[in-house]
Amino acid sequence: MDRVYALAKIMNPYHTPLSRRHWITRVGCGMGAWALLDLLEREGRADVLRGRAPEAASPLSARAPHFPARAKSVIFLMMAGGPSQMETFDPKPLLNKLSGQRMPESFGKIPAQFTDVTQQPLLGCRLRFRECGRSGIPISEAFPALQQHADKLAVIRSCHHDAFNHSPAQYVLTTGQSRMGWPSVGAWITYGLGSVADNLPAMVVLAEPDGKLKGGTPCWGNGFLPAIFQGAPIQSQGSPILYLNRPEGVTSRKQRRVLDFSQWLNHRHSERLLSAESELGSRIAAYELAFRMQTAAPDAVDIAKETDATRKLYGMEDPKARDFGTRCLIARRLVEHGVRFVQVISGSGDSKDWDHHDDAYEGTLRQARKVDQPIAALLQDLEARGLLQQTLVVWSGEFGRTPTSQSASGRDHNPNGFTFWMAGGGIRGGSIIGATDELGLRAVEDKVHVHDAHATILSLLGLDHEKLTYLFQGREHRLTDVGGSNDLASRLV
Amino acid sequence: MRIAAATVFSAALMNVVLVAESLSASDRLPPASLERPAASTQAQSSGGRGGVDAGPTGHWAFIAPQSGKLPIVRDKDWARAPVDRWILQRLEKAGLRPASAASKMTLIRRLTLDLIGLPPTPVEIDVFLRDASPLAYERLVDRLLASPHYGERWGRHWLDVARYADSGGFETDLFFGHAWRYRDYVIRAFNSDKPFDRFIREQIAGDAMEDGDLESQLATGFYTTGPVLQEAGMVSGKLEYDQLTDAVDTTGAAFLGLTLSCARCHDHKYDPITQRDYFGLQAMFSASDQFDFKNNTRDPKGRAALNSTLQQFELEQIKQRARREPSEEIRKGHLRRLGEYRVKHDKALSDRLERTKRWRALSPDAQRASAAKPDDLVEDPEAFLISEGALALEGEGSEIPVRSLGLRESVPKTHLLKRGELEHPGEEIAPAFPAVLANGHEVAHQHPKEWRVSLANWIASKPNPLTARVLVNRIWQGHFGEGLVRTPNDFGLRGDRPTHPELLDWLAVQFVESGWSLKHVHRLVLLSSTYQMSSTAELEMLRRDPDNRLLTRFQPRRLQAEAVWDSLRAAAGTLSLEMYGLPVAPPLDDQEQIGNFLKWPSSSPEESNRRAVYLLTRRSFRFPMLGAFDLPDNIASCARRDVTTVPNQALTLLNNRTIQEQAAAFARRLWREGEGELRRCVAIAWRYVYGRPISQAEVEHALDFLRTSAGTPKVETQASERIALEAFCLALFNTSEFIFIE
Repeated sequence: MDRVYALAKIMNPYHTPLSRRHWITRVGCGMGAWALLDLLEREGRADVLRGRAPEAASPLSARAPHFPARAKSVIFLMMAGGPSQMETFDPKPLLNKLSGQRMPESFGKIPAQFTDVTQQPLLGCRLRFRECGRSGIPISEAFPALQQHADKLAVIRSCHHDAFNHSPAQYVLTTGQSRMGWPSVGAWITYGLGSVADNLPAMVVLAEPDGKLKGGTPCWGNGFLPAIFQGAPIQSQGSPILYLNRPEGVTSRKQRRVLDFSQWLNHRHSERLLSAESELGSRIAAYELAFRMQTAAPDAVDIAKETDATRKLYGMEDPKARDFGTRCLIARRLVEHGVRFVQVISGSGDSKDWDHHDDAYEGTLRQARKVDQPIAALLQDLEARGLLQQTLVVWSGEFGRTPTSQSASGRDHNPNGFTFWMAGGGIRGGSIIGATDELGLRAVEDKVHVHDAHATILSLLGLDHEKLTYLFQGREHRLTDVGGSNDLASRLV
Repeated sequence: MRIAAATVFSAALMNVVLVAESLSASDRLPPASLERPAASTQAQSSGGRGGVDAGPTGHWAFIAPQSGKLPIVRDKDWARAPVDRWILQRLEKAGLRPASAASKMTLIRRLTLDLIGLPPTPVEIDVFLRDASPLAYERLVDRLLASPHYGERWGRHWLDVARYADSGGFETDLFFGHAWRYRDYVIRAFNSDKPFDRFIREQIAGDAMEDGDLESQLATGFYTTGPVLQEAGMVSGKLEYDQLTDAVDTTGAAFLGLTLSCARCHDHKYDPITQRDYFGLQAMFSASDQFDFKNNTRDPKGRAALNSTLQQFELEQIKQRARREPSEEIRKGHLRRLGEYRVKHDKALSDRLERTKRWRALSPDAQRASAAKPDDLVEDPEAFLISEGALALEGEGSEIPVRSLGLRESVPKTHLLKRGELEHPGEEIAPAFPAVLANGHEVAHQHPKEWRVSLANWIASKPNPLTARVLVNRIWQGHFGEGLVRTPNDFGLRGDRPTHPELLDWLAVQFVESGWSLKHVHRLVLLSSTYQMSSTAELEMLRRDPDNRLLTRFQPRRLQAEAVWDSLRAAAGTLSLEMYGLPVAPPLDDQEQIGNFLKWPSSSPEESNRRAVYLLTRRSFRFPMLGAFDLPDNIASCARRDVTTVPNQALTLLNNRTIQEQAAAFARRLWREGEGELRRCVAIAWRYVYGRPISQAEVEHALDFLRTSAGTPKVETQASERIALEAFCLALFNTSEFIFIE
């Protein structure tokens, strides 16, 4: 009761009825607030707004989910380039047996990017698998550290979509659509749930230090959702957020003085211009938040604050694992600070990283070496801190690879059947869902489209993918377009 | 507790509805929940035909606009222009008064930023304030409409609608080396007030028009600058299909204000557009492909030849530098690089250089012993490269090709695609206009060459009920921040209804009757009392007309990204007003390039102060500073930009290196013009930044800031004052008044 009263007062200092314009502008973010209000209103959930302070009534305020959530936040480990399912989590004995032969005709044809699978010899997998943990989930030797955590994983071996190239497939993985310009999963989630991170962005992206990803920024974009829901790239080195660092020689005190002077003028201007008082008010608030972020964001990414043991666990002493380990550790810190969605990216989609056209064996070993220990550390650390239950960890590439070879020992792109796994977030570990055919060419059993995977993630966060919609160009859009199913979630928990 | 809270909150919402309904039934504001219209909404507006929905075929926007009588109003003095009559009619009906007239000082800043996207200079302000003639304002309007910078601002609005970019997006982000020529075409068309029906026809069919020329060929850049997913291993026909989809969707949105894209996969759910209609439109484009034209000759390879690269763009940058370089020595360096490139890509030339190299590598003895010295030996390889570079610069092959639509050799058949999927072709479809809009028009010409011409003529025709309305609505939106129809790319059944339907129609008719003159419509709007209202709102207005749908006042608005960029430089005195040409890529550091997969072809620092409309627009990577201020993503037609307020705008304006540089430049300007006297410096600053005199309280506050920043008064030195002045300039750049139009 009191919070809504406070909210009404904030929104409406003149005790006039709330207007749409007031809503939009007062809360600082155009359509978002409106859509949010509309959403809440339609669902009879206007009660979820929490109005303690002006910013708390922003589009980023925490909001209750559609139904009780299992997870509160997501760490999405995106393996850009497309790891091979055959070399990682989906062993194929028949493939090894038929290695070097043509694929039996009964398997038919799939379009692949560079090769014709009916013309290429099958390529057996040289990596050995071990049945791990009590559950006996097979994990290849490329992931020795992760093997220790098999019982935490739900491995889904039957994921599929139909985009063959890196960028479109990265868009499918992150937005559900193969074209640019659609809201990413993280944007949808923060739109649905808001954020509990006071002085940090609601969605954070931790990309490779060079920041290069084939699909580029649309992979964490807001699409047609308000810009406030877009992922904010945070760097593990240098200035964590673009333009966050003060220029050289400018101290916090000096900047505060500049800010005080301009805010004095801003207040005068806002008082004079009643008709834009709300826009101007949120602009004043945005400056204060920006100023606070300058302290909060570096603190959140400062891994020097971690113990040596923790840093070592994440692979800080291992030059190969250090980069990804740093990002995993920052991801944990961000989740602790209340960040809703952290997208940690390994690779860019290049043959140097996960795109193994030339050598699936060497390539997988080399790239897994960089992420294996950090991922294991993340799962272990989250569990030790009691965060794993509420943090959903998702691991996936934008597609898998062909059982047939390319350039003798490499593999081509294949979105027809690939593996992703989830851990934490209230799911039951130690399970395998779905299967590809005997060679790993296509998902055949219990097929899980990317839309289904997205629906599942939303569902674990308490969001109904059919209700989380946004009106754009005359249509109510959703993350899962016209597809998606929740069935998976009920089987995972 | 939660339930109670919900109730209170809902009650507040109810209030919105109640207020809306307290206005007379016919004047009812759509309550908040109805503003995002549902197909079933039957809100009626002020009596006219415009608001009554007679079902899909009788939908107001599908009936040709007609010029009604000017409404009778009480306050005839206020309603000096026809536009004012409709505005005032609704206000009087609602018992509201319009806001008072804005001051001349407010008007010149508003008008200048609105029309040319730059703040007025102190001199321009003085001239206008001194001009006591009743015609002063009108003269100002005319001066600004005649300014070449008008096209840079208003052309940019059109470029949003045309989803303009210099690259195709996706992983390859295929570089469009010649897209900027379409951008320049748009700016020229706006500046010359090219009749808009001609402007439309040129963009749709400029290559095939009977009276077409190079300029009209450039206009088809509307279609050759869309997103392109071009990668290996694509399903055959996908690229063409994507391009046809983009062509139809953008045509529908930009010219007709319709969301045709909904009808690609199924009949439109809300508008009477069928899937058959959709593919009928695709068929109009099926005979067309993109070609490069050089010396009026078409590259026969069609799209296959369109592989212009970033490298070619960089060559163009070098050519430009070479043309401008005053120092002969540096110029030679540029020419040498051009020569190197030319030799590398010309086998005969590179062989010749290779032979020379081999010959020279021989010892004198070996030279004598070997067969005769090659007769095409290059005497001076250095001079050779430079002269080849000069040829590349001015001689043969230096012409930049025109990318335009053209006719294919053979016309592929168009099929209705089930669910919009290429794999599921249905019946064959012939080119046709959407049935509900055709209004008796047929695609008259059987020859594929005529299809787009026919489409263009139909869209740019007087009887087309949508074209003129959609366009005048865009103009209104440009001036007021919101259109008379607040869904500018959706005039369909799901779109918003016009707030002033008869006014919209009157403007549309005037527009067509004036010979489709944009500048005529601008004048009709700008000379009205409505446009000249102040932003000062009374509580009553805010309460009764919170969204300003009745136009009780001039709603202040934040500048768009480009205007922020330009205004900073205009104030600092660093803005380059050079027009047209190659896109400019101001240097970005590594951190600014996060997410950029391809090389950023940095321009020289001097070029970095060009107007933002000339900045390189890449689809896969948004220029960070403009991105922070809501630059659209250029993937689909954008009719109305978001206006967000987010903390990274503050960080951008506080910490960005270029902002610091502009603040320093501005400080130098103030120091110079204020002759080192702080009191004068701050007064001058106010005129550049806000276009108004500084108040006494502001002077005191500013001086106080400068003194504390400069250190204790006793040890005050010129140097520390100048540093303090930079901080002062930075503070001003961060104020709302600077980036708001009121």
